[in-house]
Amino acid sequence: MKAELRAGLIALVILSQAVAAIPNPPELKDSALKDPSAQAELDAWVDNFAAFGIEKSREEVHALGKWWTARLRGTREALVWPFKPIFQFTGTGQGWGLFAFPDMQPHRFEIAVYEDGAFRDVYVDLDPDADFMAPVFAARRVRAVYNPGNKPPPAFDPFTDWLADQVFEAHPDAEKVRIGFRRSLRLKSGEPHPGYSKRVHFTRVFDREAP
Amino acid sequence: MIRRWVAFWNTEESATTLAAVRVLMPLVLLSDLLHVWFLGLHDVMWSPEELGGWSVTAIGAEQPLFGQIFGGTTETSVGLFWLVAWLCVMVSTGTFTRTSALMLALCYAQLEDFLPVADRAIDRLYRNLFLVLAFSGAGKTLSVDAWLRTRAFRDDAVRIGGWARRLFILQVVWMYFDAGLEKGASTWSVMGRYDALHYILQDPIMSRADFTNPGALFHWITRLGTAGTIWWELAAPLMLVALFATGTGRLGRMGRWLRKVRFREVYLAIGMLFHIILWATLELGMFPPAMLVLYPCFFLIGEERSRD
Repeated sequence: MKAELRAGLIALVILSQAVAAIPNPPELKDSALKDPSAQAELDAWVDNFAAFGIEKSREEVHALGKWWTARLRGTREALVWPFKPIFQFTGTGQGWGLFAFPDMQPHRFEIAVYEDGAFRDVYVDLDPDADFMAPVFAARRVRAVYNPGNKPPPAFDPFTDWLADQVFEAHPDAEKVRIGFRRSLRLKSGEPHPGYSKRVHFTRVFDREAP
Repeated sequence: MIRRWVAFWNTEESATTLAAVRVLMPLVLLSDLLHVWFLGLHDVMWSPEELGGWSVTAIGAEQPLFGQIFGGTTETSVGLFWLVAWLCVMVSTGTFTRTSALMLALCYAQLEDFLPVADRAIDRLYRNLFLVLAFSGAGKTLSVDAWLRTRAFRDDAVRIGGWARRLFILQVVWMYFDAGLEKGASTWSVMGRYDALHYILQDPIMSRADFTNPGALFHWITRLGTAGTIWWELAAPLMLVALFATGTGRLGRMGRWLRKVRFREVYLAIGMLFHIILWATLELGMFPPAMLVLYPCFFLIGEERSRD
């Protein structure tokens, strides 16, 4: 009886985990049509369809992808629902999308201080001449707190509040601290790195005198 | 069918393999937590935003259970951090293993609730496995529990249910296979010229070194690496076939072939190489060692036998 009970419980666990393992693709938004990385992805699928003699435009592929991802997400949500409280309480589940969609326009994290009338970089990713607190930003848990996709993660504001205090403390002459990202211009296969945007994205500027 | 299912999970084997994994897994997690402490972040990372920390959930509607019980304060989150670290020591040393492993999984989940964004795939995988460990009997050897029972830390004679190690194998195989399935970007396939690693290594937030403009040879190496990664991941289910064939001597020509080419050893050797290259090129924290310490699960010390 004990063996049957154990086998039954294992079956239940595997069933719940199999449901959790149903792929959960990110929601395909209309804004994807404007994103260069997403455009490149859609164009690749247009070519793929064409290889099988099916003519589809980028917009049609987007609509098709949107329909399928919505159905898949909806089905998964419905099946996972009975197990959700257990998954949430135990922090368990499946779904292992590791580097599933490489970013063709990755961000570079930067911190600059305003001294003597100009901003000076104190941290730039992978720059040995601007490596203030570099080990902290490389830590896996920390990176997740600031690494942006289309927008900074939820903890970005409290993280940067804390970070600004650290920068001011280490740089007594700094009047302001600027924290933000430069976005790579679109990477292309086999071509030299195209450089970074002049604009600093998701910028937060802190004033030492501010309350 | 049901009888075969029951029989499949009703085996027993030496506890040593799973006990070795039980010793190593919490040590990897502990080193990750001590790294946070070494960087001086343990008292801000999970602390409430209102008190200068980074957690936006430590206070308010989404407050974790641990915060509801002990209050949304810095002391609470720091206390939870050290509790998880202490439970790692307890599980690794095999001290009250069942309770410690269960508590570790649940407290680790609470830590996730304080800062969900800092919780990565490997953390979820470890919680899945700590829960299996809690019910497995993996604390019966190489443990304080064994010493309390027999006055010896090691007890090679003790046997436990084989189901737990089988679940470990299933989890690792599924993780690799699913990682392959979910790689939906065209750059992981021939239609995207297998350029995924070329792009990933040029992400300055992820990369350990500057891989911009490394030359044509490097580009070809990354393409080879991309193709190798995706096909290696998608081949993971063959490991189950190979293990079944090795264990039972069945499955016909395919099983014989997998055994002949030593598929298990070759697959895991490639996996080790894969994780070592990942560790050398990307900032992935505990992920590479955390996966490698699970590999002993694929090797059983001694014989497995049915309990029937």
